[in-house]
Amino acid sequence: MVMAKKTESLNLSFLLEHERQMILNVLQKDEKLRKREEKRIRKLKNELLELKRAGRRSSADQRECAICLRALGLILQRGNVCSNCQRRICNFCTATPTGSSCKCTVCAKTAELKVVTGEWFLEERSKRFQSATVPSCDVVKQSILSSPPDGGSANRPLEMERSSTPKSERSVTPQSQKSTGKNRKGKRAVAVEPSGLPTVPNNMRAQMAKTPTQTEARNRPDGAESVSSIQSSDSVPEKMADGRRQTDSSTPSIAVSRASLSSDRSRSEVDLSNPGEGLSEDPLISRCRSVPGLNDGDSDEDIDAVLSAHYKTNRSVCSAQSMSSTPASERKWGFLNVPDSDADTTSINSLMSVYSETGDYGSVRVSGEILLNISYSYKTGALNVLVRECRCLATGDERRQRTDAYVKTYLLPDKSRQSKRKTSIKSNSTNPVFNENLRYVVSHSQLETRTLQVSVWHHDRFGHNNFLGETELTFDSWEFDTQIEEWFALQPRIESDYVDSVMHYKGELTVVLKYIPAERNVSLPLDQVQVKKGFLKGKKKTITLPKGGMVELLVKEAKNLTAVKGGSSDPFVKGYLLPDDKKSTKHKTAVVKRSVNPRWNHTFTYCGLQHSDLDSVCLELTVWDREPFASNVFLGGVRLGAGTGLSYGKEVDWNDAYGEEQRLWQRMIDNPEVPQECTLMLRSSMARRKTD
Amino acid sequence: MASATDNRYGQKESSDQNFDYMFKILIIGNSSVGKTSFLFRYADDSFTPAFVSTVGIDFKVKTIYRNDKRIKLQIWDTAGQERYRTITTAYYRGAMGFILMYDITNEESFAAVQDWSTQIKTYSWDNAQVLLVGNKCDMEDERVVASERGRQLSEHLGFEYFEASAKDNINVKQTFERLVDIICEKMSESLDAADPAVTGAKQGPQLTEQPAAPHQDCAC
Repeated sequence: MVMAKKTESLNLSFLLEHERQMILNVLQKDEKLRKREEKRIRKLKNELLELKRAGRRSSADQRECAICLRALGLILQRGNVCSNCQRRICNFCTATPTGSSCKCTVCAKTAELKVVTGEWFLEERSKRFQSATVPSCDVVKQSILSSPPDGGSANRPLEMERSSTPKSERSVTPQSQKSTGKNRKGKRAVAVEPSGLPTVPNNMRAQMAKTPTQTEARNRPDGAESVSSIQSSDSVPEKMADGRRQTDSSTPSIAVSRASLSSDRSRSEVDLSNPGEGLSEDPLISRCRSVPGLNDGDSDEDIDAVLSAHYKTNRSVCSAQSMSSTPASERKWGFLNVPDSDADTTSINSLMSVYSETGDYGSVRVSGEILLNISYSYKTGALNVLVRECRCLATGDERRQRTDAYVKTYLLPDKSRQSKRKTSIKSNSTNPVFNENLRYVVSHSQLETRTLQVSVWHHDRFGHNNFLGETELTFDSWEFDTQIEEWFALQPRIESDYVDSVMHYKGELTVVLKYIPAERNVSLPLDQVQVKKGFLKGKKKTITLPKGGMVELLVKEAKNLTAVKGGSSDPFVKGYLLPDDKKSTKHKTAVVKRSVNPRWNHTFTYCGLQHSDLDSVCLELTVWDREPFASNVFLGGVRLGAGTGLSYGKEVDWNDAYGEEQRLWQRMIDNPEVPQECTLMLRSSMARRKTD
Repeated sequence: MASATDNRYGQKESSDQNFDYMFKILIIGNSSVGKTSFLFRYADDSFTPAFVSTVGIDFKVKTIYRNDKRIKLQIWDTAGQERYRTITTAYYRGAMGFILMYDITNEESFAAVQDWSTQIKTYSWDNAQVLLVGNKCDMEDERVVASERGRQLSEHLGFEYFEASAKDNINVKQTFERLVDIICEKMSESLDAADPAVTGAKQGPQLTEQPAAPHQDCAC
């Protein structure tokens, strides 16, 4: 049922035109309110992020406050230890009075956020509804807009409305779900049961409750004697089958993924098994295709390579080398360099410089500061970053005693070429004067969610640029009509691990997971299996008919994704079942254009999973913004799995699901065949989470 | 010019957003029991005796100051009529608390309370907070539902109970404030449960007490 959520719409054709209008007005009013609420919540989350960011530079062995870095004494002003995160903090950063449950401002703020954002409610509610996230107003609105007004039907008997209203929430409740799966008779029995008396046992209530809506023809929501049995739940298998057939016809939804024993995950491997699957109908892609050499699979693999490079950076392996070591990536460098003569501005390069950071980070001591003048013009909708000068920069090239500095900016989280600005290079000075304006056209509401990253680099003629320091500015609390002119201290690049990736709010992803154990899998209708067989043959793969269990994942929708260009993105989701050394488990959804709240409703199916495999595999979903002529932009991701850190006995860094990701996986294992819906916070980075 | 207007807009918005949390409340009950009047009395302190049936749904926003917190209430008013039921039930899920209303001069509306509560149980979350309100208590002459019956039913259903009058402004504010309070209680319970540090302290004694009980029973 949840799988068929796409079809969930209420039949509201009985509404008169003026009723439609009135309700739509209310919904609009509500949407406004919600938008403002979302903005408020975003601000709050950013505040927390700021707090965390400030503290990340602290190291455990120093006697300083983990939050404000104030020095702490050994006897006097020793500070307190937060009972939650165990970090030592000064009195100013202690939120609750000293005592057994002393908390630091970060932990206190985190708890407070749960309250003020209403997340506590969503959490509580999700215990009951896996599909808690479809805002009812959206359903109603869509239904109203999609059902044509029908003037004369106001007095029509409600017969039709009753039978055709899907009301899928009904069967989403855990109670009814169980009864659907195991004992349909029970449900019918309930429907026949007389009601209206307060003698109904509690556990029957949920089922009983279906009766009022079904007897809408009556004047009061009571009495269930005349009720027909519930159609919607009985038709579950049909609907699901429908859904599957749908996905089959447009996009491949099945990959036979043998869980492999290899824990080595080399993403830069050449992938030949993937000739633009899935997205072939997309006009964007076909446009892409007309560019020689730039086909879907390729540009996508770039990102994978970059992503893997990112993994590797964290393990301090020089990623630039690992990238170019495979023929595939060399080829990409080739054609990506063609359209742009300035090698440094090709997209792969700019992605590299953020993701993997070509050039040296560690070799230069960071010093000095930078004078920036920042203003925003409402008239032109432009952010002007006037880079005035730097002073006391570190020496870029120790050997030759030279510093040829330039300044580079990104408006994070957009790390693509579109977001990159650079000044010219000022040769041989540690106090270079630039007076160059770097300009971004961005709406002020968008700007609030962005971070300006300003980094200073030493330009090396042989391409090995040296990092000289950076500073980051956020705009969420900035008065846009004021101008800032300030010296900012340059800081070394810090591994951003400390910033808990969850709290770096990248939006949310809603998925529905279902595990179908092997013994159930056999009961797949034969024709469906044949469809898949046919498809696999088309891809010239040897097929072994799916044995073992099956994980079915519905990628439903995402909310509040980062807007990469002009206030929106073109998002799609990519999924891998790890370990995945053959890339046979790759799935992609279609691209939803110009949306930060996309709805995909796309099903990925993974076969051949025994119950015992479920602890050792991990479903990695990443959200990307499609860039037809450049590398796609990473928008966030999740890893669904048991989070054991192990895969078939080997230690792996990707089996790191935690929190809701982990709980969802467990729920899926515990409730075979029952779809588990969940909304997950997107991680801002797929690098391994720090476990301490 | 442009920046001046924008600035004003910004200020307006910030004062508008000047609250600590937002609660969503739903008012349900049979048609014409006075849900809309009740809401208008609370939000606008106004009352019109004329009956205008609500179309589908509507809501009002009111910010109150309670327990040292500014709480913004989004109060959804639903149509009692059957024909809008598909729309109104869609909103149950988003509501933290409910006001279930009947009319003390209308037996039928009282008889329907049980079914409304069943609807809440079906469509809402497990900890949905509900207040049972018998409206129109100013019309004592026409009363057909005795207060005692209301109280008994509310106890049976596990709800708190008020008799109120939107017309005479009796117990209107109290109803909402009580509902806000119990939602706040649920909220802190939920947070305590989520915080292992706190639960550890709370569960400790319970866990040690429980094993003792079966021990006594084991006489065989």
